[in-house]
Amino acid sequence: MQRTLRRKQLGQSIAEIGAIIGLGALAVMLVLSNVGTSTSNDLCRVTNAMGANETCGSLFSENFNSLDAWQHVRGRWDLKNGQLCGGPGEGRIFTSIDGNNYRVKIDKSMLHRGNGYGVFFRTQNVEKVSGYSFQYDPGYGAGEFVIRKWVNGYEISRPIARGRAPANYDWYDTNRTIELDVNGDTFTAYVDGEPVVTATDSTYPEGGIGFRTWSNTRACFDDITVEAIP
Amino acid sequence: MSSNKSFKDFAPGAIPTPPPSPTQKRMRMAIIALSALVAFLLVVKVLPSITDGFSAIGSGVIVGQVVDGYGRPLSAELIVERTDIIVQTDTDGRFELRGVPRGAQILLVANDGIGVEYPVNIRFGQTVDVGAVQAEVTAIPAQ
Repeated sequence: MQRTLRRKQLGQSIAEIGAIIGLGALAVMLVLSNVGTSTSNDLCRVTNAMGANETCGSLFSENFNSLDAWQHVRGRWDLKNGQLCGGPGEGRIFTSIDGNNYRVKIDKSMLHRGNGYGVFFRTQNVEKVSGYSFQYDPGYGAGEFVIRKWVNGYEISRPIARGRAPANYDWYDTNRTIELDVNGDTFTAYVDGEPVVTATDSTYPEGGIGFRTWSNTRACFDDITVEAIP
Repeated sequence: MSSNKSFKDFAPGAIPTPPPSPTQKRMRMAIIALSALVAFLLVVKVLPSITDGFSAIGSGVIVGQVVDGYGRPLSAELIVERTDIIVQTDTDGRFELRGVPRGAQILLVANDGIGVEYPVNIRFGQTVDVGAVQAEVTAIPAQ
């Protein structure tokens, strides 16, 4: 009788411990979700700490062996020497990204000629694009880095942010590393590791990336990675 | 032994439920506390979408006319950002947008690939006349 009672108590305790562990895990996941932290990233870090070798937070990478991952919407885009090259003319090409806060890194980007190129981010409905673009823009004023908003295929007339290039900046035929930090409602663009322009806007919370050319631009890009910002 | 037990409690083979030990009591308190915490976190998570839904209740109307840089009527597309509301002007550049959610909105006047934003404050049941709003008439955006 006493042994049966103990077993019953032990069974209850195991059920209660299970409930506590389950509720604790649920609470932790809800806290992380409410503060905007990806639980998959955290799990990835935990598994790496236990000896695994995963790339945590990688959302996309591209070295342009093909254009299979890209949706060619308009303009001229081709692969040349393992790089994506666009222009001349108004051109747009996009790929989707499953995430909202991320860091885009384009290891090699080179403007050969023309008024500039754009890197889209948080884009939706690419046929009538809504989202944002960072523009490497020697044709804007005396040459500037700008961040623009797009609504239903329309480029908003006034940039949401502008940054001046250094004096005697070499816009053409120089390989540049472009990075975009897209985090909440704040977007910062870096060229060769230096911050060049920061914008704030909350209209579009998520979406993919892409490239843009216009007028007589010719530009090439290679080695893109997109990583989630925890 | 309590004297309030019924005969059912002494049925052959029945095992009486043991009183909870202090450890079990603590565990049950922990379960109750964690359940309350989870319920609170769920409310925090879903509350913004509920309040967004409430703020969208009630709408107004925007009317106006699109003109070019010389004040001449111009055909254009009108979009209320963050909504599905899109209309075309009539031939005189006039427009009317119905069902615009109340509160601070951005009206986009779009023409030839370029859009110009106008902030508008919508009050429930009221018509806001924004008057003449200018569209960009060049393919090169403002500098």
